Amino acid sequence: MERILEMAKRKADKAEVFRIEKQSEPACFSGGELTTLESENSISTALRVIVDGHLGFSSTTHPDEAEGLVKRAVASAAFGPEIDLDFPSVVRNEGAGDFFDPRVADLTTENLIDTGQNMIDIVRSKYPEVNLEVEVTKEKSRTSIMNSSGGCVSYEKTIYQAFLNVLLMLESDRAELEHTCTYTTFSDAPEQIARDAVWRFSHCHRVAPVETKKMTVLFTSLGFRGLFVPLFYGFGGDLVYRKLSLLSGRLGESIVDPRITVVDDPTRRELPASCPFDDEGVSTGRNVLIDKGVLTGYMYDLRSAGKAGAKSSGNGFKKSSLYTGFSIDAQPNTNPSNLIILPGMIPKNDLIKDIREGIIVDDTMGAGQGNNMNGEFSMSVALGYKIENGEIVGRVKDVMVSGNVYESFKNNFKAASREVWTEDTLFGRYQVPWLVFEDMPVAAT
Amino acid sequence: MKAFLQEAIAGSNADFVEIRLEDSFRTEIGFSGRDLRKAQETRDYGGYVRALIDGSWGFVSFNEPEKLPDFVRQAELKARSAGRGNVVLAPVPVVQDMVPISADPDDDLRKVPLDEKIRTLADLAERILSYSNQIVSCNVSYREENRHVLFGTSEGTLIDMHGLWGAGGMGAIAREGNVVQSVFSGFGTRTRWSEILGAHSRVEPICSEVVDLVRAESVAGGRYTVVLDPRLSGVFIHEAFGHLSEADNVSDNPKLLSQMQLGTRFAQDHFNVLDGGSLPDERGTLPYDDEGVPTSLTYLIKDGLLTGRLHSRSTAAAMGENPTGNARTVGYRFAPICRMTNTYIDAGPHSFEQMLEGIGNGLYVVGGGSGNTSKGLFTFSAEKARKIQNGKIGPWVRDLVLTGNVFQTLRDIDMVGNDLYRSRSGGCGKSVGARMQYPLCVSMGSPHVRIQNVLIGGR
Repeated sequence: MERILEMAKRKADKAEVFRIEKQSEPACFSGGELTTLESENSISTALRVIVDGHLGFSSTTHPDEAEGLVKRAVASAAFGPEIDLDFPSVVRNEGAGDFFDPRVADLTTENLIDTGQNMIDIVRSKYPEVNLEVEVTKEKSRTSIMNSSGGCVSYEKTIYQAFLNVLLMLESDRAELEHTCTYTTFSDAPEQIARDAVWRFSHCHRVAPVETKKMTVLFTSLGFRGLFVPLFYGFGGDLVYRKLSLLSGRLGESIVDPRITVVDDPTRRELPASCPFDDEGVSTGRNVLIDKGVLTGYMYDLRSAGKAGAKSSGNGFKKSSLYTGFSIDAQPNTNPSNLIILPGMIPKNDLIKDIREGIIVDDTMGAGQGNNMNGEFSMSVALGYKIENGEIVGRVKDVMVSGNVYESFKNNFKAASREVWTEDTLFGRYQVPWLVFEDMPVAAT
Repeated sequence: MKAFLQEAIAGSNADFVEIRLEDSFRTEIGFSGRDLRKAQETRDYGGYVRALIDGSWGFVSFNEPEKLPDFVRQAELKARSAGRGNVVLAPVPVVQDMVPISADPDDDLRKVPLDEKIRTLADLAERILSYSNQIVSCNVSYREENRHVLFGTSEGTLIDMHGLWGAGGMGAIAREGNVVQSVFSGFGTRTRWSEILGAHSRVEPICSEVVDLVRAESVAGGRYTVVLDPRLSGVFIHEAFGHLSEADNVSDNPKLLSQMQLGTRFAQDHFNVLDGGSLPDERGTLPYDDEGVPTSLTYLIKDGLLTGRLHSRSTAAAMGENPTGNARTVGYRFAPICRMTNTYIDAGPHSFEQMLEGIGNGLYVVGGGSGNTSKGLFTFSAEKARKIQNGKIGPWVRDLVLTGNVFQTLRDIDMVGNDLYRSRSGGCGKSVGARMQYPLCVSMGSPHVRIQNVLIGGR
């Protein structure tokens, strides 16, 4: 890294080298049987340079490539956006600190296989016939960032992740569930998602009819996936300073129900996106975005903060699109870490008991396909249940839910559960309670 | 490098071992309006070892090929730890081959410097933005990949293969009042820069369409007779049916397998669907798949009957069918799985005019779409459509969502056009476990098709 930084400094005014070394070991089960044990050993390096006020970028996964990397980054600066930023001069080596759990690092292959088998046994004990795909993974990584301001930070992190896909064949139909749990720390979360799958399928044996009309809708933490993107989108510093966000210039304004508080929090030890620094080496911290319904913050990376005259909130993460996770060939841009909606007061089962007629949205298809910039969502309910007089009476089929997140959280919000769940989805990582909205348009298709 | 790879294979005592080494250079350019948001060249270099012992796989990927012998041992250890499994590989011919990129020296993507590529895209953006006041923004992007793969197996196969892909897309975004609409067009090539320059001819059509569309009314939900344009029916056959034909999606799912028995009637007589990596010069064309199996052309549906599916060596053996050369990986981080190459509905007998005849109240659904499928169910949002009123093309409508069950929808296709078109851009994603493998270069093809009784939801 030093060599790359030195070479880059000779050709550029400012430079930053990012490196992540990772070892990831998944145990993969298909059809309920262990099929593959894998190991990913990666060393990936990215370089940002500023030449005559323009930003250049390149990346490589060749561990020894320096000259080519510098050459490509400098060449791209000729076309790069004009930028005025100072890389942070923080010097800190966190080593195996808060986000490194030795219990995860020390898991053996046999431990991973046992956990996967436990998950399968839990589901099969109630549903012997289901088709199951399971993955249990442990991961260790070291992230290091060095820059021409003298900044030099690094930290190690562990990830313990389980993935479950269950396909339940019904009479003339099927119910499918895909669920991933990811934490930095060791826990029994993998077994818990298997138990939750059993709870979910217990409502699937009967199809309950749904009429097209406005009714109460309960989003579980998994169902929230369909609201996640339109909700966080407006907080992105890049859209805020260009006044493309609905939330631009509205700090201090009451934008949603006063019982809603939303924070972006990378400091919570166990949560999957937690880290001491973002991918630009900026120290992270808890950032309150909505405090009791009032807009109190945005998310900035260095670049958008510079344009907006604000400070980076430590939200510069290397992610190439809404639909992908970390990517070495993506430049840092504004992204949430762990997006958190604080819990409500009501036990989850009481939320259901209070609903006279409504549906539970538990998993969705088509999430993120609405007009995210406007906060709009539109999704088919892939897995959902009908509630009548406080009881779950069966599964719903061919139902769509749509609306606008900000309007829903302002005008339709009814209650949040006391319990919260942490989810890791294609779109991002978040922790939320169950959320109930009244008078939501539900369409039977 | 070849000798090093062969030596590492020789040093293994697994039942079967394969090694892939890969070096890819990627160029990406992106404009948002007139702003150049991305212009970068990156390199992805690495490989994997996959070892099979007692019917179980061990898979190790890496960025340090010089440690290859260690990774071979790691893969063997992983395979042994997995215990006894039931993976068997179908026999395939041993291949030793070298596949270069054959490009016209006067029309070669690789010879066009980055600044010229950027200028070309800037020009597309400028033309879109200056078309009309109603066009408020646009997106123009381009991605090129130049990949060198060295692949060898313990059976003696050794392939040295180069591949080149260039593709992009442009979207025009128009606004009137609170209504924002976009229309998108893709473009692509295997080697020829002149094909990328051909995108200029699509600027006028997408701009005039988006300006019409922003003034169009929303579609009224309901059941319609629809005519799908080739781009959308290509996406449909890929998403809704192609993925079901991937053998790994059905092999361990007894219920789906019972629905997907070869010989089952899937569609009307004149309906044919094929997939093949052996077609010349398409986006999904490759001489060998990522298990070193020669690619072929496979009928998935022939004369309305299900006749084939897309196999890797292990799914072919498990199902007692022949390998088709459809094991593919997006890159060295993933073991190959069953994937599509160039999938298409073959041309049929009908003209577009014949399809419109007799439709009282229908929709001509046009343009790209994005879709979701889940084992037989599909949801697509389509860009736009024109009403069909008494056999005539009428005004534009927007905000369409098509949903249905693929088995029923295929049976409801009653006419197939004579105007086959294949996409030159775009990529396919497939997730295995928690990880999405995207983008894989494929083409999607179809003529116009007519479908009865399609459920259309407004947004």
